[in-house]
Amino acid sequence: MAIDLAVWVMYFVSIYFAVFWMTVILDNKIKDIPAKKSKKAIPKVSVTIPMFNEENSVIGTIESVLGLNYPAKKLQIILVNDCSTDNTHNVVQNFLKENKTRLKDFDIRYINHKVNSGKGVAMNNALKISTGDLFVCLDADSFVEPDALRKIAPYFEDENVASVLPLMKLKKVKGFALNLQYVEYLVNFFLKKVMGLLDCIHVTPGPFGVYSKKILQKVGGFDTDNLTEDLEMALRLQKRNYKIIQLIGAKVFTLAPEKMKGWFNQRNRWYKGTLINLLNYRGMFFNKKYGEFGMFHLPMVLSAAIISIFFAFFVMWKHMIKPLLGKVYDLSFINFDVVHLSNVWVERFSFLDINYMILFFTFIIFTFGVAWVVYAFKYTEETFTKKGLASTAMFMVIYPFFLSVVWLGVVFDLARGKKQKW
Amino acid sequence: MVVEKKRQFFWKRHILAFVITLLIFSVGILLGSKLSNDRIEFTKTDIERQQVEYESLQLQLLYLTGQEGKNCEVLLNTLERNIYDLENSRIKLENYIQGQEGGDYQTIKRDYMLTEIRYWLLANEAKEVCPNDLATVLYFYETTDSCFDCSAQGYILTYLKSIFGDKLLVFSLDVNFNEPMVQILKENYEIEELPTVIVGGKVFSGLTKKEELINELCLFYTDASFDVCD
Repeated sequence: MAIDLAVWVMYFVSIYFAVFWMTVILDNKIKDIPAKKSKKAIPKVSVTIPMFNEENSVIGTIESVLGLNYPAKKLQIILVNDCSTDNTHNVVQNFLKENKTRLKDFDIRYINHKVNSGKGVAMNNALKISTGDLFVCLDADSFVEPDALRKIAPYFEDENVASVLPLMKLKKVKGFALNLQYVEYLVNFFLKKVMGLLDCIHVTPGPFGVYSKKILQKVGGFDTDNLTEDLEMALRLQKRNYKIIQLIGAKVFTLAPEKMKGWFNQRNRWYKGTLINLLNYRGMFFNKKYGEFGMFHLPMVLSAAIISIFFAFFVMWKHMIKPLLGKVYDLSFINFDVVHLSNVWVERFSFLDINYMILFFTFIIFTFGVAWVVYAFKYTEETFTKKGLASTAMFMVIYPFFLSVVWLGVVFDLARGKKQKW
Repeated sequence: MVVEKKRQFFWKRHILAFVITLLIFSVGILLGSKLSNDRIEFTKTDIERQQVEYESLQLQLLYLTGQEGKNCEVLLNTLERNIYDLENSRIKLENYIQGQEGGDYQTIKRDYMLTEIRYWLLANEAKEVCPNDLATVLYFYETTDSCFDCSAQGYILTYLKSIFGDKLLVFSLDVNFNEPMVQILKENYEIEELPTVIVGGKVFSGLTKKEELINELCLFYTDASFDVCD
């Protein structure tokens, strides 16, 4: 009985979240609002590329920075090798040597860590030697679009702006896991854009997240012991009431895990980090000082996690897996002769056997899902191909289960190794 | 410098979202209650019809008693069809009841139980008046989780029904149901374990495999030829 009630609350809360953001979508122009440009609008920028075993992708990443439509004199490139165990060091050194003439206008620095110290430390070391007004993190598996920095830089004229984020898309879409992530990225970044309209961004991802260096230094740089230092940074900036802006016109492309297991592991780390950081910042929850972000957004992120876990435990287990196992057990006694049975079932069927209340709620939630995907494609200027349509259909069916399994894994990990990291 | 400006909370938008959500929810709840009413209405009408059919059968039987097997065909046909309908309705009812604890359903279910027993008695009487090769099966079950195998036994009986069709009359009784008549039958057959299936007079306790039941049932069907009985 209590569980039934919880399921209803879950339905209500989920629909409420969906409705709330839908009103924001319908009420606003989603397109980027151009920043007010003044004359001095070309600030000096330090792009940091932290590297850990990225021998295959790092040159492409560096090339994408060199290809930025931005004056070379205004660009500093800081490469931090965090003690890679592969050939990253040599690959980068060779590249720098071979392209000496081409690179002469750029201020390129190379930091070589003797011990692996994590992305946070790498970023902070880069921050110490950076000369730019803006500080950028570009993961070594990501590739920035030439126009991105030009589009992003002017927003920092506003001194309250701490970070401006580009739209993240997948570099390559091939295979099952990547096709699902393709839709995931579109929807998630579209929603981030929408949430940004109400100053509700809680993560500043590694691929070309641009920061105001002054603010970054003022808040004390990156956390060096964090599963998701980009999420922690966003929470810290929000706590100090700085602005974070999400753009959809500026783009960065990234490589994603190509196998389901890789995807699962990455999300496991992200969501574990999310949960731990949210708990560390619990003081912001329901705190009027932080407006929409504290009063609604953070509680929503946590509720969504709880709903996902709940969905995994009760809905998936009680209403899907357990009955399915039961059916298999039952049918095993008639040697799975469903053909015979189906005759009886067809004869017995009547319209009233359909629970159209559940059908209605499923339909509503499904409709919101479809609407988001359609909007996401529209505003990120992604064309709807047949393949995209198939991916979307698969995504809508699989993703809720995937999320639940990921969250289950997170809960399991945290319960098992509570001591390790809190 | 950071200006300590107050951050906004869009309470009007939240009220709007809440109202819309409430509307959507109300529609869902209304649909749910309509569904529940429709189902109750349907089962109520159905059981009333079953009871009228029963009276008709009872009259037929009364009239045919002592006529030494003449004109039995109509009676047997009606009996077969009605028991089949009744069992289908009962299965429907059990599905509808799941997750519902309304008083309406309890009364309706009681009606179904009693009607099942009436038909069972009638079928036994009919056997004396009109000799036939119908096999009657009494099936004792419960709907709580404590009877793990009841649903499997249900599948097996449905499966047998799909083989033997009208020749097999299944009467299902929920022993957990607070109905004295069911309790009397339970004690009479000394039911200790669930599920229990009674074929003719033979008691099969616990989950009984389909092969075992088929063997027993085939003893009844001497005239009709079923492949499984060979």
